[in-house]
Amino acid sequence: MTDAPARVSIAEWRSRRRQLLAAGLREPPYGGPLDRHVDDGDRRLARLLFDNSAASLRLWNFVLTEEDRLHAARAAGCRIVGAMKDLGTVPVMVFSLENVVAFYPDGAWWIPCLMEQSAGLLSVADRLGLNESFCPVRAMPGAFVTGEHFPRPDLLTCSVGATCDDFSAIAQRLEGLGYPILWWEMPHRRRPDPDEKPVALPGGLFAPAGQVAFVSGELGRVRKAIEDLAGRRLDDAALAAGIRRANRVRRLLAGLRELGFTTAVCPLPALEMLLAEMLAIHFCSDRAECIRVLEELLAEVRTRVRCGAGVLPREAVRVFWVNPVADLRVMNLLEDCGGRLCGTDFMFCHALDAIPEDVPPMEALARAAIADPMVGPSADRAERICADVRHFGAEAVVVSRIPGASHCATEGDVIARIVREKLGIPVVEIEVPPISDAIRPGLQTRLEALVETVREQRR
Amino acid sequence: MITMGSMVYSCPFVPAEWIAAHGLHPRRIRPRSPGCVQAGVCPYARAFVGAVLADDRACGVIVTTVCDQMRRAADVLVLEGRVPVFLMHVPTTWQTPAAQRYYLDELRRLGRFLTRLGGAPPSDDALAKVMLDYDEARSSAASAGAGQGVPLALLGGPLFEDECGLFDLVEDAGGRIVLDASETGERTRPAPFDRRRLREEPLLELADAYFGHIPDAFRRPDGELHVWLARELDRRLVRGIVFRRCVWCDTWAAELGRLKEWVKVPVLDLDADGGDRASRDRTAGRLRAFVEMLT
Repeated sequence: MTDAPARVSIAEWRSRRRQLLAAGLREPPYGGPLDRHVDDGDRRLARLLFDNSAASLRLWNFVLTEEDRLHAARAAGCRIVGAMKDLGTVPVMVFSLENVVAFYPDGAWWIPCLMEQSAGLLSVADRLGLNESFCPVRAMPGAFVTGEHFPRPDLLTCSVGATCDDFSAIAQRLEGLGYPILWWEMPHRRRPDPDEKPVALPGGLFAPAGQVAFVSGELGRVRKAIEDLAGRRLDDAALAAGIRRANRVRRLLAGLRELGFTTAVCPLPALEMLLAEMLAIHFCSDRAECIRVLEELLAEVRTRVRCGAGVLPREAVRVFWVNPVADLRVMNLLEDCGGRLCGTDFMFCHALDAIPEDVPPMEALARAAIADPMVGPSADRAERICADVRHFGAEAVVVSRIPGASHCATEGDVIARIVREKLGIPVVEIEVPPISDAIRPGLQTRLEALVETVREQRR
Repeated sequence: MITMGSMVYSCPFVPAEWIAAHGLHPRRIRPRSPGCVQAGVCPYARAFVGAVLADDRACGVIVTTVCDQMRRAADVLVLEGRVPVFLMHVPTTWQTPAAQRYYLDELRRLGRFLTRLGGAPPSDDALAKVMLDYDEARSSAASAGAGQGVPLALLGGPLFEDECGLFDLVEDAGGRIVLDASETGERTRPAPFDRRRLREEPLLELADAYFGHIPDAFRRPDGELHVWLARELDRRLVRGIVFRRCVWCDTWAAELGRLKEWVKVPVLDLDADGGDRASRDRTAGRLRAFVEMLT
């Protein structure tokens, strides 16, 4: 730790970085001042508050330079896989080979927020008939059409079946525009019938062996496509090694979550926690560097915890957050309202759980994939949320709806109902659009009411 | 065959024959429009939940994964706990033998569910007999299209029970539906059964007639829907398409943009919000304008 932890603006980061450099900070090649990203178009950054550690600076720079990394990978002869929707499984396979990299085109859903809608991606979506009744991931086809946010992938995969209709429909629209997609099926996860062999999944769930075998077969089709693309075999040994490296990332994140959510003083702001968790799904296109970024971040957090130093007041209300926010600024808002993040379900818990290493790799990956909270019953998701709320000691839950998302229409109610029944803690539902400034007073009122309710209960 | 309680469902990928062969009464329900709109919630899924919860004759309900909102509707029905719920996964992909086998396995699992509710597993002969009866009933059903007026196709998701008046509105406007490609229309009829396979392997034939032949927007890829549609539009000399979708239905909303890129006839986009009389009056006015333009 180089200084007192604090949340600082991007303007403050300029002097803060100079201070760190003067103190001996050595940045990676993608490092540099954060405000250069604002100059490149990521205007939203100018309205955010950031953690002031060197580790967080590295994290932000790592995330915001992914496009450069993908172009560099292509220039170096690597093939690029655009993995869509499964959030955490296909990239583990891809990064098991050295001449292929993976990224999630889905990530384009944050471009309208980051660029404050200056990129015109939602206008492209409107022209394609994907209006605001779709979730903000409708920005993705625009990113393909304009070709300005990531290189065109050499292979596109998309999991469909028990997934949201928004994504399935948008991906189909994309294919209709001339981007071939390898569709693979993800069945709705269900509990095994009494006459079916149960298989334990990461995260404590069970699925019928037949479902796991089916998903393994579907991933086998993906494996074959990756092999064809790479021009080399993706054998079990390579996959097993890839799983071990992915688990290294997941263990680092588990450590970060444990310290970040359970210590008395909040050691890392919500925004950086969100960003760090996002690395789990595809390593931000560079697995080795991803591990180094997380190691540094975890070291910073450990130091802060050891010193009893945090970024928020000790009395901050401990909030569990459900679903990612389309507008990153809302993570700041939670803290401005007196809350702190103490547990998350950003729709990819399965990418945070360790992948089994004691079963054949394809089966292990299938088990991880089908543990996706979004492919099973909402009640299963709610049960896990309840377990995590207990574990992290959260005092309230925010269900953050994604505008237009097919799953959010009824799922939020189910989750809220089960959490209230099982835990008796306050739950509030909010909806966060890509730019939430216009509704900020309403969001603030709801979050403040939640915080005040918890404080009242503490008395 | 003993007829017991009724098994309700809405999705066309649920074979009524399979339920009937187990001795239960298949009842495909078309809910009435809910009369009001809830942001983000498909009015059809909402109405379906309401209809099931209000149904005191149902001994069980079958919901499928064809639509995410209906999949989530099953969560609500399970939580309410009024009636046993079977959530059937209908694969979105269709071109692999594994997907076809999965559908078949889901039918077998459905059979076990029906048995638990008092049904009896049918013999092959009994299933074949039921299938024949249904097949004959379907082939003798009157086909749309007779009469005067501008020939139109109706395309999209399911219609509410109280939306049958849509056909009258079209006729009042001077048109006629010669192709009902809505979810509740002829598009979602299973293929006629192959008589030889029906005798030899009736369940396989049943699965193939449904899963292998119903073109739908939820499938990935969805090319078969467009191939089927192009053929039928040509065959029936359709001059305009009434594209009817529920608000918040992503699957059909996205199809509209794609359809407009290749179809050679005008398309009228009607979004159904399951709302009030005013929205029905608006629909009537738009239909009149559409047909007038085609005349």
